[in-house]
Parts: sequence; structure tokens; C-alpha cells
Amino acid sequence: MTKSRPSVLPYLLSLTVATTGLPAFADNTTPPTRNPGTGTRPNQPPHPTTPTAPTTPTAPTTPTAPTTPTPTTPPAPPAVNTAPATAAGDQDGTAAGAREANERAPGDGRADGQSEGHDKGFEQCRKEAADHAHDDGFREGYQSGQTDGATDGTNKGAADGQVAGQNEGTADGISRADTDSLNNSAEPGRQQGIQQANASDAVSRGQTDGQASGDQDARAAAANQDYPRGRTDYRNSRYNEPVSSQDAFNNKSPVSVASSGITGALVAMLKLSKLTAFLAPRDQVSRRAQGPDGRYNTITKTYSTAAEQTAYNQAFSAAYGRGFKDTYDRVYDQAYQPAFREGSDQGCDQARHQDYREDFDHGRQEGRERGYNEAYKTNYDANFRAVHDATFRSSSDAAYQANYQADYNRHFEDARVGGYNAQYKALYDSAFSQAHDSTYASKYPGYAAAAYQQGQNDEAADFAARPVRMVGASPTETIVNGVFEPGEELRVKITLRNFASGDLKAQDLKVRLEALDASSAVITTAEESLAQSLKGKSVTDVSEALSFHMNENAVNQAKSFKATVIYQGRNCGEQVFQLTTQWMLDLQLAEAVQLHQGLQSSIKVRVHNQATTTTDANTSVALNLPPTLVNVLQATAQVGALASGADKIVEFPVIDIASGNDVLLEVAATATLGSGRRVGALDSQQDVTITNDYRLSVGGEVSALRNPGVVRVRYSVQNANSSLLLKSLQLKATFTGPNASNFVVIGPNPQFLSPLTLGETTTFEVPVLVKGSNSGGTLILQLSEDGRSVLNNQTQF
Amino acid sequence: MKINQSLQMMALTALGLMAVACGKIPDAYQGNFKDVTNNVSVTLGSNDGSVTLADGRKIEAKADDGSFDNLSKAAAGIYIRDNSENKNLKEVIWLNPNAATKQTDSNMVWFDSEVFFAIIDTTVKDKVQALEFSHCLKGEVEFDSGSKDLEVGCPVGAESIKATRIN
Repeated sequence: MTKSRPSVLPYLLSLTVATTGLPAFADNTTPPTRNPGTGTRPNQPPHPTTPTAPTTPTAPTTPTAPTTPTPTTPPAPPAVNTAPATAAGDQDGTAAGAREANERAPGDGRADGQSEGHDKGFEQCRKEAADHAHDDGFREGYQSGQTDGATDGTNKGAADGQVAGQNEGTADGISRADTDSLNNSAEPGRQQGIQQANASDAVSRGQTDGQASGDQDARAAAANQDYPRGRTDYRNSRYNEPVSSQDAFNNKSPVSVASSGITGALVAMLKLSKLTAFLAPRDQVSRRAQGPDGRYNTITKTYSTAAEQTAYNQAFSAAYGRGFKDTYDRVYDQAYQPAFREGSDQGCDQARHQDYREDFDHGRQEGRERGYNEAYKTNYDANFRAVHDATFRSSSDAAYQANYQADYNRHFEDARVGGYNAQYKALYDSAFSQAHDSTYASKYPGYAAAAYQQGQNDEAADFAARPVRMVGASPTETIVNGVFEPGEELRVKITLRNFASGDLKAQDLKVRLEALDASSAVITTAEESLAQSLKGKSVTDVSEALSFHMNENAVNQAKSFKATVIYQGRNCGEQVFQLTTQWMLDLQLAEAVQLHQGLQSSIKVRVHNQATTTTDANTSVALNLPPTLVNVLQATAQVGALASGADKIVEFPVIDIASGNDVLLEVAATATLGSGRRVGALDSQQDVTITNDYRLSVGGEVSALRNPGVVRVRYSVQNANSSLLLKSLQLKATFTGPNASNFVVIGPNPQFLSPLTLGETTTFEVPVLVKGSNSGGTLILQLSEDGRSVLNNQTQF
Repeated sequence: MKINQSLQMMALTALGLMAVACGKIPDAYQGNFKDVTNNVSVTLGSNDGSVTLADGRKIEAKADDGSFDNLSKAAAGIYIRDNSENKNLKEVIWLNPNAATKQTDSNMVWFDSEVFFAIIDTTVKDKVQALEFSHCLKGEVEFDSGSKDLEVGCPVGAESIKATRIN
């Protein structure tokens, strides 16, 4: 929590300075003097260690320090014995105070006793009378309620019992009829169903369906198992044939390893309240005195010396209050007690004559409710049960008779159907299974042999039409350093096998490349013919085929590609391969970015060589940050020759120019070799907390600085993190931009600010004289803590 | 001369430190303090105090109330204000202005001043063992005569002074 300092000073303490050589305050033009030798002021009382010797007051002593200022007050008066005057004042004051007390206390005590006694007596008797009236009403109401409750309970119980007995009895009869009929019909119904099933066509239908199913399954098994087996066996036999020649050639010229230059792109309450309201005013008007009114605090005695008069006056005044209190309390209490008793009796008598009809009625209502409820429940329960039981049995029997036969018929039919279906299924399944199995066993061998042979024939025809197969495909580099870099030209090494006896002409053979994730790469040569023919019965490695390069969005991800070989326009087989793209140099932030507003800090980037080769001596990393947030003092850092697998941390000095607590910072860095080839990149979004010991914010209409006149730029400084105490702050205001000379700070610059404790905020202003209209510029407020730069705030206007 | 003046100022500030609440010096700050190195003694009572310096000079101070007007006149004094973050803390600023340097422009008033600054905790009950404050001879006071916003501070290199209790 922060708040601005109060703008008005609450206190001013003045100082008195009694020495020379020390600057005195301007308004203390007459410094007080002191007693030479003792340092006490002339009118000060004696030293505390000698209070029991009033007859020997401290005498002024001779000055011993001639360099001290000369006293400017008159010499002290001669000593006077004031003890008798003090004693007389004490005695007279005590008597005068007692006199006032004797006049006031009897009246005050009687009035307070009468008032408070009346209140207490009234309340006590009022409560007793109210309770008595309530109890009388309760008894009368209870008897009345009992009579009415008994009558109502009897009538209502009988009526409810009749209805409940009928409903419950009927339900009971229906339920019994259903249960009994079910039990009696189940078995006869089921037996009838079984007999009907035995006489049906279940067996003959099972046999017919089983035979058809067996034949169908045999055909399917041959097609699904034996046909592909035939093709596979044939294919394997071809692959097992001996290879007559093992050849290799490059489909195009290899790229030089040294090539470079590839570049890419992220309720009781009511009573209480009434009572309180009644008593409250009386409580507040107690007449018990809090102190004397001083009616007799008048000095009549006079003395010849001022000291004696002062002593008498002071003693008289002090004794007056004491005399008053001692007498007042005693006399007040004596008058209070009898008045209290008298007031209590009067209050009680008054209470007894009040009207308590409301309490009686309230009690009567409570009594009637209780009597009625008790009688009603007892009579209701007794009559309900008697009538209910008598009605229940007859209703149950009638419902049973009415429902039994219909229930029986329904349950019998259900049992019959169930028995029929179960028996039919058993007979059918048995016949089906036997017919299916025998048919399958007899038909399958013939179907299998035929399917196998067909498979062999078809595969042989396919080899004749497509005599070449791709047996391998993998990516290859053009910059041989062990990493597939984004932007680097990559090629494919393909292995082809010619199963034909004769040569296959180069112009009839093509290879094709497709990226399964089209966004991951750019295929520069998607299809091309072979450069050479394939010899008969040969296996040939074709290198430097096709051409593509990976995009930067695929870095550190595995991506798939499909290579296909085509012979005379027919697809002769394909291979899918994967590759993972990496930068030669991996760039990562070495530590969380920390920024301090207006102050220099550094951003560290760790460079790791992932390649199998060493970088060249001119390898460097360039940092790019949003210029509106951070000023990068040196954007490029040299990495130099970095061996394979080695790490190096490079630092970039930066100054935060953003204000506020947090910023979302886009950090981008690029690594390049001496040749200019980009070999590493970093693109990171960092949520950075700007940490400064102090925070500074500029408020108000800063844009007013564009217009001529005096503009007061308000600013607030808060100590956010500094725990150093008593360190003054210095704030310097400057302007930059083409109009800088147009602004003049009025008053001291830098301004000196008092120390701020942790969390404390101060608000002040920088008055600026703007000489003329202008197109704006930048106001820079640089804050230092005892010389240590802690913040540099820039405000555009 | 500079050292003697600093000691005197230190004593005066110590007196000012005590005169906080209603002009009374809190119990925790009453007693005798001594700077052994510079032979300076400070005695603080409930509403006043004194300092005896090495050369024998004695300084006395007493609490009294004042107003912003004194500041407007570049008058010396001890100004006390609440710490905006902690109500239990008071900031004590003793000023000994050089009135001749007072300037005014566009409601802004500023002048040079010797400045003492200290922070005291009004909730402390135990006897404080040390009093610490900063001091500079060429500090600066500036305020807006309209809004009465005030700033007082020191340039780089203000002294840090410490006095310790002897009983």
C-alpha cells in the first residue's frame, strides 16, 4: 500500500540554542538565558534532590563561564518563607470545597436516588404483574382448546381412515392376484410351448442354413488366407533370387561440402428495546457531580508579598477540589439511599396499576394452541386406525376376485411363448452346427488350393509389369556436418532392385519425392528420371537423387517423406523415411531475462555446437529486441571457433526503456558463420518482470509540454525494493529530441528528495518552462540513490 | 569547525527526535547518550533535553508547535511528518536554511539548507540504544507554495551519524 506524503507539516518544534558558533533559527532572535554555573532557568523550581528544604531555596551562583551569553532576565527576588501561606491556603481551600459539596450533594443524591429507585421498582413490579396475567390466560385457553381438539381429531381421523383403508386394501388385492396367477400359470404355459416347438420346422431349417454357411466360410478362408500366401510366396521367391550385379551411381552431381551462402527465414427484542428506551434518558441525567463548580473558589485573603500570595493561592486551589470530593461523596450517599427506596415503592405502585390485558390474551392464545394440539392428535390417531383396519380387508378381497383370471391368462401366454422360443432355438442350433462343420470340411481344401495358385499367378504378372522395386530411401546432406539444417539443400539416396533379366532403360524410370507434412519443407526437385539404366537382376544405389530443403518451423521435429519409383508410368513401390532438422548451433537463453528500468543489464545466450564440425573463427550471434521496449547497446557477440559438442555463453548489454512491472518480450537471435550463412536461431517470448529498487511514474498531461508556458510535470517515486535507510535521492530531468533546447527546468535540477522507507511513495513535480510550441520529444527522469543510479524513466510527449 | 558543528547538529536532531507526540519525548528515547569518540553527552527528558559538547558548550532544546509558514520564510526548525507507508513511523527533518539563497519562480520556492533527517518508531517501548540520522551541509528544500508539496534532500555523500545510550 502506498500513499503520498502529507503536503502540510503537522508539527514544528522550535529550538533554543545557547551557544555561539551554532546557527540559530531565524525566528529565535532572543535566545533564553540560563543560570551561570547550574544551567537552570531563574524561575525553575529547586533541584529535585532537595524538595524537603523549602526554607533554603537555591541561590543564584556566580557565573563561571564568561564565554556564555549574558542573562537577559532580571535577577531573582529575595527568598520568602511561604510555608505559612501554603498551610493557610490548604485549610481555607478545603473548607470552601466542603461548603460547596454540602450545598450540592443532598439535592443531587435525593434526585438521583428517587429517579433510579423509581425505575428499578417500576420494572420489577411490572414484570411480576405481566407474568401473572399471562398465566391466568394460559389456563383458560388450554381448557377451551382441549374440548375443540378432541372433537376435530375424532371426526378427521375417521374420515382419513376410511379413505386410506379402501386405497390400501384395493392395492393389496391387486398385488395378491398378480402373484398367485403367475405362480399357477408358468409351468403349464411353458410345457405347451415346448410341445409346439418340437412339432415345428426347426431341425430342417437348421440343416439347410448350416450347409450354406459352411460353404461360404470355406470360400472366404481361402480368399483371405491362401490367396495372399500364394502372392507372398511368389514374391519371396523372386527376392531370393541371386543378384547378378551390385551397382551405384549419382543421379546428379554432388554439391560441394564447402558450399555456403544458404539463407532461410514465431420479538423479546421489542420488549428490551422499549425498556432500554425508557431507562436510557434517566441513566444519562445522573446528577452526581464530576467535580466542583468552584462557586466558593474565591481568594479573599491577601499577603504582603507576591510569593506568599502565590503560595496561598496555589494551595487554596489545590485543596478546594480535595475538600469538595471528600465531603460530596459522603453526603450524596446519605441522601441517595432513602430516596432510592421511596422511589422504588412509588414505581412499583405505578406499575401495578397498568393494563395487562395484552399479556392475558397472549397467554390465553398459547394455552389454547397447546390444549388443542394435544387433544387433536390423541383422538385422531385412535379413530384413524380403527376405521382403517375395518375397511382394508373387504376392499382387498374384492380387488383379488376382480383381477385373478385376467392375470392368469396373461401370464400363461407369456410362459408359452418363452418355452416355444427356447426349444426352437436349441433344435435349430444343433442342426445348423452339424451341417456347417461337415460342409466346411469337405469344401475347404479345394477352395484353398485354387486360391493359392491364383495368388502366385497374379504376383507373377505384377512382377512382369513392374519389374523394379524400391528397397531403401534415406536423406543425405550437401553440407556434411552431421545435422540436417534448415535451408540446407538435402537429397535422397535410393536403393532399387531390378527383377527382370534384361536392362531397364533410364528414360522409363523416374523417382518422386513427397513431404507428408507439406509445411515442413520445400521440395525443389520433386521428380526426376534416372541418370542411368538399371542392369538386369541388379541392385543399384542411386545417390544425389531429388532435392529439397527443410523449413525453420520444422527445427527439432521429426518429419516424414515418401519416395516412389515409377516404371513406364506405373508405381513400382515406395519408401517412407524420417529426418529431424536441427540448427548447427543451438541457441538458448542462458538465464531468465532480468530488466531494470533505465539501467543496464545483460541478456545471456548459450551457444551449443550440435554439428560434427568446428565453426569458423568469425562465427557470431546477433540479438534483436523490440526497440520500443529495450535498447540493445551491442547487438552482435563473437562466438569464434566452437568445437563440435562445445558450449559458449555470449552476453548482450541492454537497457530497458519500458515502464511498468511486466513486459512480454520477444527475444530473437541469429547465429551466422563468417561466410554469412545462418546456422542458428532463437525466437523466444519471455514474460519479463522489470525489477528496480525504485519505481517512478509520471502523471498528468505530459502532452502539455508541446505548448508554450509553465508545465508542472507530476511524478511519484516509490521505494519498491531498497532496504537501505536514510539515503537521499536525487532526480535529474533532461529532454532529448530536436526540441530539447525548448525546455528549461525551473528550480534545482537535480532535485534532492528525502529518503524513502521500503514501500513508501512520494509525489512531487518538475516545473518546466516551455519556450514555444513544439512537436514533442522525450522527458528523461533519472533517479539516483545517494549517487547510485537506480532508475531512468523516459516519457514521450 | 565542521566536526563541531556536526556534533551540535546531531545533538539538536536527537532532541528533535524525542519531541514527537504532543511535544513529549517518548520514554524509550529518554536518558543519557554519549559519543565517546567525540566526547559529546546528550541528556533527554520528557519534554526537553540538552547536549554538552567537547568544548564545553551546552545546547538546550524544547518542544513547541509550529506551522508551514515558518518554512515559507526559510526559518530554521525541526519539522516532523508522518511516514506515508507506516503510521507508526515519523520522519524528523531538521533544517538550518541559508535564507539568502531563497528563490521563487512560478510558485516554486527553493533554498539551500543544512539538513538532518531521521526516522523514529513511536511504538518502541524498550529503551533505544542508538539514534541514527543523516546529515548534509548543503542540502536543498523546495516546495510548491500553491499545493504545499514539499521535498527536502541531500546531495550525494550525506553523512550517517550514530549516538549510543550510556544509561
